[in-house]
Amino acid sequence: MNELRSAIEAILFVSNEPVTVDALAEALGATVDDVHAQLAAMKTFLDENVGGYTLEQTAGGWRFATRPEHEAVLKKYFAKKGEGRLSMAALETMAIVAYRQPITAPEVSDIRGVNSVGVIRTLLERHLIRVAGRKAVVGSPFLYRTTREFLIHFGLNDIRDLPRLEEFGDLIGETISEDLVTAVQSAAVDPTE
Amino acid sequence: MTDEDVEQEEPGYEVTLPSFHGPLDLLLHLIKKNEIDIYDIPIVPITEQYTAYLDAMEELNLEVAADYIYMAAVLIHIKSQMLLPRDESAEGSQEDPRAELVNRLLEYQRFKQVAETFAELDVVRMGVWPRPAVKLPESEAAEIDMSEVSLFDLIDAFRNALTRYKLNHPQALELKRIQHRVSDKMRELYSKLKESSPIRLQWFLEGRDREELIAIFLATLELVRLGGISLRQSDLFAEIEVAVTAAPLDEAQFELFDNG
Repeated sequence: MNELRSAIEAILFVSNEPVTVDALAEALGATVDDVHAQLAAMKTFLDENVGGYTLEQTAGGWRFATRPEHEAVLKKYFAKKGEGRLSMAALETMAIVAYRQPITAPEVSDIRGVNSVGVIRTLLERHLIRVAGRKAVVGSPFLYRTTREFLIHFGLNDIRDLPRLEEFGDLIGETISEDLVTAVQSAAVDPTE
Repeated sequence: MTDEDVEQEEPGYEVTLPSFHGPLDLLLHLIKKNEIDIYDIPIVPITEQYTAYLDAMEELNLEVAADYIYMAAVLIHIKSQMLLPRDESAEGSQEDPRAELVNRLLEYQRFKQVAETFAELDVVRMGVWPRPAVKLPESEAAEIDMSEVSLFDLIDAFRNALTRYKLNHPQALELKRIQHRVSDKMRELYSKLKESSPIRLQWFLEGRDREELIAIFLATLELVRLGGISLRQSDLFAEIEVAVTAAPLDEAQFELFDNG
């Protein structure tokens, strides 16, 4: 195994957060292309050998993480209290903030037709959204944006990876969403793109 | 908001109540159930069905939220507008009274689909675990990606200090005069920072009592608001760091923060 690759692996192994290619390249005095190539090789290796973990690209960086198929085992072993899945109300609110950010609570409530203040609080506590200033209207309500944690939670590399909202129509929407889910599921992100 | 599926059959009406996430959701359900063209909603029967659902919810002792009742009023309003004779001559094309509602429904429907996609991702991603975060050796900052300090993080820091204070000082009833002014704390923190910056917030809070912590909390918020200091945190478990910003503050204005 070459030097660069093992050095990258060492950094990723210790890091708490996804590490960007730029940060790796700078720390190791390597070119961005070389780092990309090594990450790709490492991911291919891990996926082909189907070990207990894989390398994934999320929130603009890379990290080691387990595979979904080991969820049950891990839960059982660690007796995880877990944060619990997000409610449909929370997911709707999340969707609106993701596409309409920055947005205020009254605006979210208006789109959903339901008072959404409580749900917004839940998302704030889970660090999936954050306050991003105030809107210059009467009462100067807070504006909300999605966070890095949001990208990581939903396995997205960049907010721009979301399909355009218009593509969620009556019928085509289903294929689009399936595409996104399979894409994230297999985490088949091409590191060389 | 009902989260669990509640299904109930009523003789006569045969109303089932899946979980709805609001009035728009309920309307969409009715439109789908009746195979209605969303661009040409028959307002009268839809309004009847909608109110029948609300009645059923009440009968089941489910609390009918104000949002649902508001939508019923909107429907009735549209219904009344539809009944008014249209003045065809006045303007070539008058806006359909249903137009706004249709647009809202379409928009909501899109977000609902996004939410369903997110729900699937949520399930997949809950099964993916990263290595748990650990404390890394103290680094000389700089290269660490400083994420933003949220108000929750700031409150946590003060809560930790308060908890520690409580442990060391069992409660006693005491009446005290205000000893700590926000302006004093602003001055103290600001001048400390002018000597050396950044400093660890937890260090600055060390050994302070409850009232003083409250005054410092307010002072910190005011200084951030004035743009004189900034707060940073190198994420997870990290301590909050306070630093002066490039913009100098006029310390005379600190006096203004002592009202009440």
